[in-house]
Amino acid sequence: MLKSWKLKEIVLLSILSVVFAVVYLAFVHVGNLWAGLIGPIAYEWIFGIWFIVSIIAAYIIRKPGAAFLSEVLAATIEMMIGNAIGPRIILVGIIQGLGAEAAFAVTGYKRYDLWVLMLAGFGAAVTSFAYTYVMGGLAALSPTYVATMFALRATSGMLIAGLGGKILSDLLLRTGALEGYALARQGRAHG
Amino acid sequence: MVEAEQLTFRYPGKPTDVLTDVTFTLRDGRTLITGASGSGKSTLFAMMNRLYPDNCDGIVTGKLRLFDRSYETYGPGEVNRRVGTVFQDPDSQFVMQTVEEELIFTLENFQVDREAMMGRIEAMLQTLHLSKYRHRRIHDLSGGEKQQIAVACALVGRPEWLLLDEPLAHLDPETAARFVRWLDVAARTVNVVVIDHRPSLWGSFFDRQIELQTGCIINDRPFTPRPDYEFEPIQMPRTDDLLFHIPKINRETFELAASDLTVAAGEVVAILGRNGSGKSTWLKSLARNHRDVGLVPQSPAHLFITGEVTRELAYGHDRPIDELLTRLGLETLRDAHPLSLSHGQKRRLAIGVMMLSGKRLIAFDEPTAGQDESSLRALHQLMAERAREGQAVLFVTHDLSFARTANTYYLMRDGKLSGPYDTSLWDDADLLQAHGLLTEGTG
Amino acid sequence: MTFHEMNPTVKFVTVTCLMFGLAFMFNPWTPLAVFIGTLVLQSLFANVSWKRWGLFMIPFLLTAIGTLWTTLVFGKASSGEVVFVLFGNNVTEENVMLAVTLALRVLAFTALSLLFTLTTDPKRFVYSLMQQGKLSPKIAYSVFVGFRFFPILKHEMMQLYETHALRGVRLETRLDHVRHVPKLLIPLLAGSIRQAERIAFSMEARAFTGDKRTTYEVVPVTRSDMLLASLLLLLFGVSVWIGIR
Repeated sequence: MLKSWKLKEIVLLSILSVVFAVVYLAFVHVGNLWAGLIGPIAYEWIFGIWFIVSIIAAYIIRKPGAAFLSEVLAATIEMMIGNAIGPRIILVGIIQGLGAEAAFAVTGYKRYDLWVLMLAGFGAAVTSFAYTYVMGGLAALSPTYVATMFALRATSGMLIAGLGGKILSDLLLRTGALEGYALARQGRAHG
Repeated sequence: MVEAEQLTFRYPGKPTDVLTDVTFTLRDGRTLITGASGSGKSTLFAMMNRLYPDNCDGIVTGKLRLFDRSYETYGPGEVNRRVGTVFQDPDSQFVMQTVEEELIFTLENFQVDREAMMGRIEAMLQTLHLSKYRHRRIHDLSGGEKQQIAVACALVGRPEWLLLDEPLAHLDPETAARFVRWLDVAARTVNVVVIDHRPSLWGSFFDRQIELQTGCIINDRPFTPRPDYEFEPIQMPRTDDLLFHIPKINRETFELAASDLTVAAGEVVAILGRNGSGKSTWLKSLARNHRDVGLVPQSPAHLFITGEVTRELAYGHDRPIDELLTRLGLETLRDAHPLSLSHGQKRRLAIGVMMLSGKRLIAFDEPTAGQDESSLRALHQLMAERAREGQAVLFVTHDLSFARTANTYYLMRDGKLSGPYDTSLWDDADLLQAHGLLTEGTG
Repeated sequence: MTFHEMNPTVKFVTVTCLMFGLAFMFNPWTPLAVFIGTLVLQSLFANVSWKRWGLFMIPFLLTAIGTLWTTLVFGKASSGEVVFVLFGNNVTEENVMLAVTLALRVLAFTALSLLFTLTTDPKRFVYSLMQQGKLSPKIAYSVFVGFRFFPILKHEMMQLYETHALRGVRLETRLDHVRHVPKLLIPLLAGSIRQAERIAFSMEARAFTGDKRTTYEVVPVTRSDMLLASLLLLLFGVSVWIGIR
């Protein structure tokens, strides 16, 4: 799979995830206290932030594996930086990445419009929720509560990761930093 | 090593060629390639170590032979075993944490036997007088030290050629001179190609010089040392004085003494000193403590908050911006993203922002780093214009040639500011030396 | 024989297996036993500062408490005797047991995670993933680049905050800083993308292809790795037994 990748694209995935790791740090402390007060649902509405790297990566680079790889890289780096949940975060990364990747695979890696990006956000929400359901024992909660959690996460995945990822990438395109990546080439071909 | 015949290069989607009909042969020895930004020298450089055309899908016509083989016949990494490279930015050419790990990374790429690695690293560092850095974290090293480590990493693979891309751009003159002297010895056994638009810093390092202009070779001759660019002092009538107090700052490893600065409108002030002497800290403190000081950071892009040139100018006030847009020459770029502008345009936009927010003193942090001559001339003109319109201009620099544009000087050493001095400062060799501003071959 | 020396990939796989196994245990005793057992193994075969351990534990303790009361309030309706009523929800004995189980599961997960995190040198982990896990060097070294880049980016973000404050952006409280984050994203990303390209070029210029390379830092798999892994699996087996007994 990596044969068709340029090194600069892989390094880009890695650096993108570091940017978000730095930015997450600003949120983490606010998040934890919140979770203690109102339980695991506290994170659901911002869960999309965790998927955004894979959507930006796939949208910019447009190669099979971009969404998956970026999540795995992001998780590994986050573990290296010292995230206490260490090994679990890598697992979560793999599972989320697969969910996002599935959306691009379904379209044969040919479409990268808003709907597909939102579908990828939704896909990541589905697989990551399945993981939470099993590991967090959500079967013990009332179905309404679980459904609310899932609805929040799916919406967040579609809006924050899907829509947000597209908005961020399009803004980045305007800064001229993406010359030499598929997104800019695509733009030139159409414009 | 390199033979080019009618070599032409074009980036995908661009209307014009970056290199047109380039024909030359690089022989053993030390060659300098000069040219302004956009002259194609960086593209040529990237062709020589085979980063291009693959990495940018560039379109190549003509012939290019590296070590007597056409460039397309080389597999990934093959040329790079014979050509070592040092890049311009000290912060984006390392992979690992420590110096030793970085050298190991290189040797692993070269498939050197595990048992032989430590011996080679030890010998390399010893020859280059860098042994004391072996276990240091690269992040903690200064710019000059990082460039030395980059050279060590390039040489540890035992290349036949060493390519350097503006390795002095981020160094102060004292450090740059020391680096050149050090490289003179370090690179004794390899051939060297350097890209730089300021040959004066190199003394008599080279044998040969090739000059590029808009993609063509316009000069190819034996190297002759050249004096640096010259700048005239900006002289404007001075009016009312502004007084600034900069309080004392105490940090764990560093102390900035309190200082006072009197600047008249129309005055152009330069603050000089070594890297790490406290100039930038002082400048930030000046801007933080006085609302009428506008700071233009070394990379003007840091200032921008919005996604459009017009919104950037209109940020935080409701004064009209149209006239200024025209005066800054940015009217065709109204809707462009500030970060997509060229360096010169970014700087003009930054100054526009300062003018509209009513700053009376415009302060530049290291405005000349990595700039070519025409960009420096443009900066000179901008500063003169500001002074003429009654603003005071101040800049922090280690660029001694450009410093001549100022008419008042302050010196910074170990966190202490002294001055003001007038242009007679340039005749006081002892004073300059004590502040790391005098090197052999300059002054 | 310590967890610090243990092969990181083996350790990772073992710890992950235990966590997956725990997910299928619905009695409070198993996670409790795993939690305590992990601490015992940690004190026997690792040298970890308990103060650091405690600091890392605090946020997860909060999560555990959150889980406990969410499960009580929003628990699935179940038959059985109602022990008490919480915010209008009838809480049965079964509900209480489940809530305690899930809260303890959070603690057991955390203890296992910390056993890994606090005894593993991240660099060695990546080396080991390359050697035992067949991770591509292209990915592994990109991870190293990212790791190295972290402090550089943090510095870059601080500089942006500083210059933006000079332009009159209100940045006094922590909340102000958080609110300003979206405005920092584009400049941070744009700068980083350009730097990513430069770093990739300098790697290629030093003959990095991701293919054939030699290895200096060899991370072996030894008998004591297997022993420690077996101890952890044994702990799980015993905990399951305690739970279903």
